[in-house]
Amino acid sequence: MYRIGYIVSLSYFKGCGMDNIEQLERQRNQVLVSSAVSFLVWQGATLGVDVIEAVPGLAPIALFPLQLALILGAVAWVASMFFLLNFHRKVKRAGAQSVMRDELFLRNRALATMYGFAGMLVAAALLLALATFVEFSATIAVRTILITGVFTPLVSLVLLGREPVGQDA
Amino acid sequence: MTGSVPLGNNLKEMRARHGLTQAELAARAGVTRKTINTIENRVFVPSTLLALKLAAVLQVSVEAVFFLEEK
Repeated sequence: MYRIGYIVSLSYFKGCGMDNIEQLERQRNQVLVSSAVSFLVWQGATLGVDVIEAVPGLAPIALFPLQLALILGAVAWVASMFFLLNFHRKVKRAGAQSVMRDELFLRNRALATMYGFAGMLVAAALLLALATFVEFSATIAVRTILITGVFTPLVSLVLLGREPVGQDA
Repeated sequence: MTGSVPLGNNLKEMRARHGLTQAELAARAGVTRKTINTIENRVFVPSTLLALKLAAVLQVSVEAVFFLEEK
């Protein structure tokens, strides 16, 4: 019985199993990185535009590259959301939902969420300290906290997923 | 979290004894190969459920695979 189970699981694994899982894991990391970077570019550029418009002394010539980055970032963000949807479809088609959400991933996701929350608290504290010296709008503050809250957990999840040492056959 | 007493394991040796690769063991336990790798390298401490699953796949008791390391 054990032998039959072993052969069945190995044939599954050789056919569409683990190679596919490794591929899906790589794709998940790519989706996470592209989402994080595009969100940072999009919202970072928007933040830059907000700052330039709020501070009279700053050169308005910097507005054009920032607006360009804003548009490119927004397009890249929409594209990465499509990649995310496509990725979820692939996971479902492969029947790999439970393997892709195994307990290591769940632990890393919980840690990444915690880092994101800590990052938001740090950003809020720094902005509060900065507000005693410089005046800025609530939009700038909220956007900064939002960028930290989205970027930090996405990048943390990728970094936490790195392996300590290479694969052992 | 392992606290002050880390959890040791013989997973690598047991797996080798059964002639399984990390990927094969992972497939049979329903986790990713990365999970097996991090357990073997003592980066990740598995839940009781996963520890029992791994022991069942290797056909040994959980104590044969996982043990409390002495200080």
